[in-house]
Amino acid sequence: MIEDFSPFLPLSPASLHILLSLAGEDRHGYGIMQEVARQSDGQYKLGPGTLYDNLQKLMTQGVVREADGKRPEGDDPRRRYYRLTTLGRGILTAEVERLENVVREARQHLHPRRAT
Amino acid sequence: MTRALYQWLLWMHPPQFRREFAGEMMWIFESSVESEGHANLLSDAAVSLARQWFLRSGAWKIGVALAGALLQVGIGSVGMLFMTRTGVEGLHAVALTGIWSGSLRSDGASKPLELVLGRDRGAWIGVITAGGQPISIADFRATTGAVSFRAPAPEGDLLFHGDLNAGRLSGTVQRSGGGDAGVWEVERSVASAAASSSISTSISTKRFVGLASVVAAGIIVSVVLLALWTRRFLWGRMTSGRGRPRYAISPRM
Repeated sequence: MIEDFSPFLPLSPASLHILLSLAGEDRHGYGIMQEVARQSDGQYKLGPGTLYDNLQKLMTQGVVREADGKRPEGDDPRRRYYRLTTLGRGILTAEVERLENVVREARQHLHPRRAT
Repeated sequence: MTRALYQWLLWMHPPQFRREFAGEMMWIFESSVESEGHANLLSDAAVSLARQWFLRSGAWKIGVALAGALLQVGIGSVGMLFMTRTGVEGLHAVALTGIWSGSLRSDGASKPLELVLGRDRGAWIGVITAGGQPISIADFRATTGAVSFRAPAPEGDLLFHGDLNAGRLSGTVQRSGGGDAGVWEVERSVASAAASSSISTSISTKRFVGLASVVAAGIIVSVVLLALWTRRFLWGRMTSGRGRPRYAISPRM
């Protein structure tokens, strides 16, 4: 079945990074912030306000949900873990594919092959 | 101190957001304040506060409604100004000169009549109002010695004939069908400014009522339009992307 994710695309940089950080495993808010910083080599930093504003939006859209699972022992009860939904994974895949097209297009224009 | 300020910023967020995320944000603040810095976290919370109230909570709709109302006020003011232009101009013309004013003390008209009389560039000008509403004067004639005019009234036109002597205007009013309808006593006016201002006030009050009606109607129209726009278009835009090219792909499970 072909699903149309176009209503969600393109993702904002914050949303893209949040989804990317949750693609591998469930994370709490601070974990997402750290993972985003790591993925971007510290070039893109999310503040808590930006993070939770985007998380709220993504949760409302059903892209991310709170993970219900066993918490690590001694974990701070204020921490909540977040998980990518199936919809979220599809959207992330679609966005990555869209970005690949953009990069391919950009490369063609920036480095055109010389006519032989 | 910084912690208290951050806590206060979180407390100022909309209740729903605060209930859901404030605890975690506080925890992150405590965990990362050394590495992120106080200023960064505080400014981030301040931006979040503004974003939550103005973008997410729908408070911006109130702003748009107010802007719409102000627009209506502007349009209404201009409209009402044009509607009362004649009366206002007449009063201004009279107010510029030495004026005589007075009121009709009789039952000659269904509403109390007031007369303001003055000269503008050598010509006599009369403004007569009934209950604060300017009414037209026909056959107005005035010289230094005598004044006469005809004022339409529901019970029959009122005909005024008076003498203007030594700063005092006095005369009689008759109905067009005959009979005495009362006496004008018009004093040269020390009190003319007050009389003029009272007429102006009457007209201003009327204009204000008209303006208020226009504003009220404008607010209602704005709210209805806003509701329709928000429901049919904005909500659709928020949930269906931002008009970018469409892609259809097969999700990889």
